[in-house]
Amino acid sequence: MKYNYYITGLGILSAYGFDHDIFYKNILNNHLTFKEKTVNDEIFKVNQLDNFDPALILGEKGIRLYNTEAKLAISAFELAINDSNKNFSELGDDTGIFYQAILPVKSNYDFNYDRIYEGGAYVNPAQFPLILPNSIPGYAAIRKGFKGINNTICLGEASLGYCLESAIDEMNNQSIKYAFIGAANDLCDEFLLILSKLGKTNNVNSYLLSENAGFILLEKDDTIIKNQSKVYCKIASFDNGFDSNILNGKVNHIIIQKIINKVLNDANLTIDDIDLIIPDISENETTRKSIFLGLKNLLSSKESYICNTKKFIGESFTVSQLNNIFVASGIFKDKIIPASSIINFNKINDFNEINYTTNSINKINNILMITMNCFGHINAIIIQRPDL
Amino acid sequence: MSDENKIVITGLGLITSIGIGKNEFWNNLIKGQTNISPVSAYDTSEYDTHYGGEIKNFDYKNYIPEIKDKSYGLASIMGIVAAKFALYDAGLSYDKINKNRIGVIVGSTGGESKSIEIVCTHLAEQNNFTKLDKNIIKSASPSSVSANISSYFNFSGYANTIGTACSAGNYAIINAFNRLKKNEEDIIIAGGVDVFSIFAYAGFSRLKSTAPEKCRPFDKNRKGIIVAEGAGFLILETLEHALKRNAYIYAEVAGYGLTCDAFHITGSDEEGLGASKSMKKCMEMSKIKIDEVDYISAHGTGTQRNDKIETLAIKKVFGDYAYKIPISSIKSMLGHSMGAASSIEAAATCLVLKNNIIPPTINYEEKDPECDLDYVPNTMRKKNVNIAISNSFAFGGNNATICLKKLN
Repeated sequence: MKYNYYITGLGILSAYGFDHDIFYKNILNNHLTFKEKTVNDEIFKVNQLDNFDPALILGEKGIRLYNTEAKLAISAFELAINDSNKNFSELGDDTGIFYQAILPVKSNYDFNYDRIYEGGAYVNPAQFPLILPNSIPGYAAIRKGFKGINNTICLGEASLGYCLESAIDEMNNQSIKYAFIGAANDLCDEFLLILSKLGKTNNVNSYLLSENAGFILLEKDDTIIKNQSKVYCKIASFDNGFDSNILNGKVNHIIIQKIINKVLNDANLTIDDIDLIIPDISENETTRKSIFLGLKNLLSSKESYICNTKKFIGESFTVSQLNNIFVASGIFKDKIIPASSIINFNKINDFNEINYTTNSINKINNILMITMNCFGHINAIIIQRPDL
Repeated sequence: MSDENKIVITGLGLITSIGIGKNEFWNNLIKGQTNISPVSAYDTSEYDTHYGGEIKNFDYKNYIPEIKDKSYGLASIMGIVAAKFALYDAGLSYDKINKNRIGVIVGSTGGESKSIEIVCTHLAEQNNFTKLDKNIIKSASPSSVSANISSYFNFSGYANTIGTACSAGNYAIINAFNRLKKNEEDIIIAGGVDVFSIFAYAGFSRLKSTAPEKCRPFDKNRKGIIVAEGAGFLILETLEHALKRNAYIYAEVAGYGLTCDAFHITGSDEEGLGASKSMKKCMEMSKIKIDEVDYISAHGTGTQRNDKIETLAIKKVFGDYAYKIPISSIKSMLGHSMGAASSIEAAATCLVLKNNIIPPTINYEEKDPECDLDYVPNTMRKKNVNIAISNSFAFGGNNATICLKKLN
């Protein structure tokens, strides 16, 4: 299946910057901004948006109802709209919002805390909708009058491919012409404690956690031509799948390999056409090794560039793949890959054996992104240089 | 479009307060049976209302005795059992099907409500997680529900968890529809599940949206919803695939409509624009005319606002014909099972098509001039039903309508 979908707007909120060019350049220049945060005597290494004032992006109106995740997400959403240079006040009926979610930890915690200690009869009713994952795209839609379609995919870091799928289905059905896809990661204290208990803070990427948010705008080729939109990259193909072995802790490369082969096939490419691979390199050994073995079996002794954006950005869960797209847009332009290495999979046993540095690349047409969450949800996405 | 490409429903799996399994559910539904009763799982004394649609007679050990509590949350357990029922109803032996070509798509408000409650309460009371099993924390992620259901059956095709609140079940069916159209899977188990949640109970209570004892959709004196729980899963496949294996076909999923109100986070827009557009889009995709619709399964929550707006939206779409279409809300009997509601209603609509019997809207006593359509009050009705639409309108403005057609 040939796709004609392009990314034409980027909005990012990160300790590395609120602009995708600045974000990319700060990562290239290793401008680490982490700090140590103590929660219940436990120390976490975090990139956090301490001084972020959403009113600077959103104005004062309406934001009092938002929790932190909503402020982050909707700010990034606004930045993506601005970046697209389109007048969306006239395009509301043709626009959809597709949100990547996990559990809104802070809102659920606060709502329950009030229920227990103030009493159920005194919980703030305005807080109730915020415990639901779909409240943020709902608020975003209200803010802009976007009446196309909203969807919320609750697969954490594996949600991007599923959001792409839903958005493209609706664009193919001609229900919408524009799709905003986004996510936010709020490093509240409660979430940090959950991550610690689950062992997720013992990650291979310098134990770094990142608070950020991002949105992309997806358009089809006919509206791009009509609007003369700037294009960051093309979605050449993607696929979503599931591996039932992962929950049992079984490393398995077969499903991953199958999915990668499918996206290559759909994009009319072979593995030799892939210039750069951005795999999800997380603390979870089962998923990390499954991705590693899947790639190893496909690449064999062929050397390949690998980029580990989490090395410098840190782990940002639902926003991770979006961060990869922001970095990829910079790579397509400047042909410099941060946090990367050229490797032969036959010579190493794990991604965490790699020394990541900055590398230049002569040719960069096709980038393969692969993600698997700890439950076994998978997606593979091939993005292409826009002028191909 | 060739016939083979049509998407059909071939199996139903239901766990509800009025029946465990399709047959008990349907028999009670058409009798107007309700088991809405005082909430037993929680102390509701501090709230204004005290009734709920709990499933009090469900013991998962009767169906999946090998499951240990800690490895799965309650929503996953209910989902597994409902999926098992659906597979059995469809005549599918999960040992014999291609497990890499099966999808599981779950709609839910937030996934494992009970696990979320345990995690949040533990942290509030202890200020740490030292004494809490990490499997419970892990199960609080909404991703876990579709993963647990798929992994129980060892399915490695596709799995998704959709969190669009009260319309999540319909969203799951729509996701399945689109994937099957692209021949991505052979069979998809799609539906919704939500367990009884004190968060939902407290939230709706504080929004002054809960009814004291009965859910009375469209009645003049309706007071709100009854918070409930449930699971409804449907087996979807292409017509070609179903015919090849001689499956019983309940209905064709002819099309759908999705819109967003973009009006208010908890309320539909007052003119019913999003809701009416959802129905219109559904009928356009399904290629049906307004006078071909034989039945509407309403969202019908029983709040003053929702029922009025849904009535207005139906009139906007159907004009004078709106007065000729029987409309019923099975939430009058079940209560509002949140993310499971729309998939349970889709399953019920399949049974309407099969049996040509329309379930009633019970507790209907006094006509509201602003809700003046035919809501099939209190008693079931026999009627030949070939085409039906089923509405769901959720927080966040997530509107979803599906069209089910009897296949000749």
